[in-house]
Amino acid sequence: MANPPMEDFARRLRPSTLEGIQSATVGRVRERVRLLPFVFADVEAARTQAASIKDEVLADLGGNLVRFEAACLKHGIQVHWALDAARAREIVLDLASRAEGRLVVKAKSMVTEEIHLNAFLEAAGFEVVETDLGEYVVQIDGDHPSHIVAPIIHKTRYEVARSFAQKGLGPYTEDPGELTLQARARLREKFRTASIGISGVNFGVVESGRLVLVENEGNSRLSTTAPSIHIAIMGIEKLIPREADLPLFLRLLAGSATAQRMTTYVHLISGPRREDESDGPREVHLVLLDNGRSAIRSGPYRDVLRCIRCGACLNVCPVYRQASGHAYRHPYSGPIGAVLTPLLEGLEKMGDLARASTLCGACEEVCPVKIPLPHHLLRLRDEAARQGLAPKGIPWSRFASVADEPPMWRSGLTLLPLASGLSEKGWSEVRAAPRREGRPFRRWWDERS
Amino acid sequence: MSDREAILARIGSAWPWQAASTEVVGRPVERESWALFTERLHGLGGEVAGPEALTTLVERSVYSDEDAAAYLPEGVRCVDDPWQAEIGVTLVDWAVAETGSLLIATGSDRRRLASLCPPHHYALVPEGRLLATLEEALGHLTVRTTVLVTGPSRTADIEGVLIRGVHGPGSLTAVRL
Repeated sequence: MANPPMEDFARRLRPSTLEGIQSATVGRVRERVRLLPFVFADVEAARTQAASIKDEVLADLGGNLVRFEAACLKHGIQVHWALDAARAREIVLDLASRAEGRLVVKAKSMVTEEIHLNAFLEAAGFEVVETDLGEYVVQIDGDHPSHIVAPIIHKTRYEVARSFAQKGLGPYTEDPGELTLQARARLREKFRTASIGISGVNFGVVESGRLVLVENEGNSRLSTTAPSIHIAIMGIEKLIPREADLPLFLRLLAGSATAQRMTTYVHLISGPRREDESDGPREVHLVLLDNGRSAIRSGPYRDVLRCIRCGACLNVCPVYRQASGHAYRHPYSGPIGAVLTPLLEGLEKMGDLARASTLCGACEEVCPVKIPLPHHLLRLRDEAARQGLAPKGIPWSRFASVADEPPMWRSGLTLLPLASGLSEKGWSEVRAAPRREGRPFRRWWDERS
Repeated sequence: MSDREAILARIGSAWPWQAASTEVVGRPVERESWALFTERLHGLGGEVAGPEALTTLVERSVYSDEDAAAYLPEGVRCVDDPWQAEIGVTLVDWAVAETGSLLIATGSDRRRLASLCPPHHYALVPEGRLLATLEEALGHLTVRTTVLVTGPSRTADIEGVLIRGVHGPGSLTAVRL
């Protein structure tokens, strides 16, 4: 495959970057493990239940979308359908063009990364401002988020300090509190004057047509409250059937993502401002995005559509910790990205991601909706191999022909120590061959009695 | 074919689904509700106070829900611009002991930006409005847009350091009426 292996990328990372990712992910894992048993009497039952509810949504996805649409319309939420990224971008541009101003404030949203919305709107003459602190840093640096939940996990405070000073946000400081205040001051002006707010959606409740957005900073609420037009973009899989399912999912998401009992803000949006209300957006639009999801649903990987984007699988993944999110070349990184990205972008282009896994199984163990990620990774590898996309490696067929013949095998074992060149060169670019120690088992067995 | 028809056609028909036979229960907490609420909100960096706390608002600029204004003492400077106010005052619909949360719905006498723009948020909790669990609180959702507030605004984006008051209020006081 033409893609540079993730190992190359990982090897070029700075030690400070790796240390930051390591400590942040390990810390989050520890806190999550400590908290969840206090939240649920039986964590396992909660995960099983959540997986089952998401499967319920996916089983009748068409019916659920139609019911959800009807419930949204009843509140005055205007619903738009987009088969692919290009269509979603057109819809958003069309809606935004009707606004008076050209300033867009954005809440953190992975789906807008997926459809490359910012660059598109900017080319059309809009000023697009990311308002989540981490996403704002990413934007002014011309960088990309490297974690689903913690976008600048790959940056140190010193890098943020330099960026802010360069962009004239205030006097140079390395204090995270001061840096946060500088961003707050700059972004408040944007919230105040923007005429369009764009967000994702964490959960769409089918029975009530409610859009549920969770966050900690308040930027998502501001983006969806202060401007006169709110445009929400949502993957078609993000539904949950009932309002009564909300406590389970809110607890699982907050616990799995950031080890909180509840995120600071849960915004439950049911329509634009009503006639008797003095603030809130005058229009609320919902863009329902397919972009390959319906195809995933009808195939063997369908349960990746249960994903609630908590990032827990990134935090536990030994490959993510060594390679960083950028190594995945796509907004969705870590184990979920290694499965989802090849499905969205094609095996040819992204199939190598599925090989970047130790198959240790940690991701499946922590997944709040029990997605069998290691199973899917293996299946993707198999598919890639069948399509002739597997990398060239050790010629295992030759190994098999030797191992099949006892005399050949025995002489092979005797000759192995002589092949010392092998251990210097290694098995492959990135793996050293194990050193032989002591005598062979067979000889020990023979000499035993 | 519209995108709507195309998506629904691609999804096609439903398949049967069997509910998991598990029942999920929250961890039961045997604590008096106000004690638990206070402990949880303190843990998040918020405060719980009695009505006397409102006297500290005298002389300060306040952006308030209309239905909360009746509880404000004389001498409070009420302003009409949420971006200029020092303090936002709201009346909450329900408080949740389990998580230290406040459920605040929009309405004719409510202002969404009161709990959001000013750096300090005073949330008034009337008598009898404290519930034990999140299930009970979310069971009271109305057709209005609603927010569940759990502690002051926060971020840990820069090196995982916890900072309060990013975009929303950095301080939150629940005032027990």
